[in-house]
Amino acid sequence: MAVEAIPVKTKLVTPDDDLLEIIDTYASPQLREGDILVVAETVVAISQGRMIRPENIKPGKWALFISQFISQNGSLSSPFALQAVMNEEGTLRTVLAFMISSLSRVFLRRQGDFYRLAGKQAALVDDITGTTPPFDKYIILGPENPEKVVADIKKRFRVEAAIIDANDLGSSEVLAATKGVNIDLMLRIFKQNPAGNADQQTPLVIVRK
Amino acid sequence: MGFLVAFAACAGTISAALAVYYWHLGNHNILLDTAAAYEFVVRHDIPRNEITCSCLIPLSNKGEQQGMINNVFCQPVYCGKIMDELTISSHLCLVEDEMKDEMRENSYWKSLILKRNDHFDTKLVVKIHNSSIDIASLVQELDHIQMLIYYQVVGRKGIQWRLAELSVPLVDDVMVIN
Repeated sequence: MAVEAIPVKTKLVTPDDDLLEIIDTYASPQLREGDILVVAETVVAISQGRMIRPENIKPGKWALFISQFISQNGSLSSPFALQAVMNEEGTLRTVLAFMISSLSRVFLRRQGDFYRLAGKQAALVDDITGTTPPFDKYIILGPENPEKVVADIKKRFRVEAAIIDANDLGSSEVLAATKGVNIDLMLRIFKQNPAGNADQQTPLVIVRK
Repeated sequence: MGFLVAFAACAGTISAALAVYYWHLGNHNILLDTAAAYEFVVRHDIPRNEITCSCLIPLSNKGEQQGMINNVFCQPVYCGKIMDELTISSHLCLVEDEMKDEMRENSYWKSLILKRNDHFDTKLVVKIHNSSIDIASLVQELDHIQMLIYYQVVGRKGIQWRLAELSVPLVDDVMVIN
């Protein structure tokens, strides 16, 4: 079955915008019955104002300590991003996740346990430079209540909806989706990241069968 | 008692190991090397009464860790009363952004990661406009302008503001537009 992914260009979405109004203006005229509307995770977070400047975060001792042990490729190697996650998920949870994942890494040779145990925000946070300008100056947290966001989209536009965290490195994750969305199909399509991660400004993608 | 000694020994060993690890980890060493600035170009646009100066400044990270430059601001040093007659604008950008035609003329610095041993060239552009003095008289009085470049470096060990200083000539190798 042929599936088409249509990126939808929008204006720059900011915390002053209502995501549903953005969809109404830019994607709604193109939507057909049976389409799936996919929204980029970062844009949902930005529209919810889930962003903070590193200058406004004071990393605590645990954030300064734990961040030293995290690979430099990960956002949490920055004590500022890690502190932002700790503020969301709790310091105790993050510290326990660090201890358990250190042990499982040494003794079981398992990787990625820290991200699995430290809570959703640990995997979703984007450090500075991780987003297109002007949000490259901010630490962007994961969206709040993504299930409600997709439910609201379905209710208003009568199409299935999903929120996806995709990147140009070939990995993607479905954060939330309405019942009619085939998750495996979404992951296959978004492996190539049709929305792009640079300055494309296409945070909405219509998936059409 | 034996248990306490064993516990203290373990704690001491772990602390020492962590201290060695932390020391070994090092930090970034991001430097905007104005002392090595090159390719100075000065352009006098006589009809518009405007001088445009530019030069390339190496930007590198010779540290053990990666770091990020999150903000950059350029500012001229006060050069006497003549400055009251001048409108001075300046910006720093990455040369590779300029090549991709992504250079922003509006001074916006796009946050940049510098991994270990990364090296970039940046371009400083300074535009001086004056409405009341002709360029010849201006450069007679002011043959160079001192620029301060503040750059904010974010790394694993915190946020720092660094300062680079550069003297930009207004007369050397002049390209004149009549």
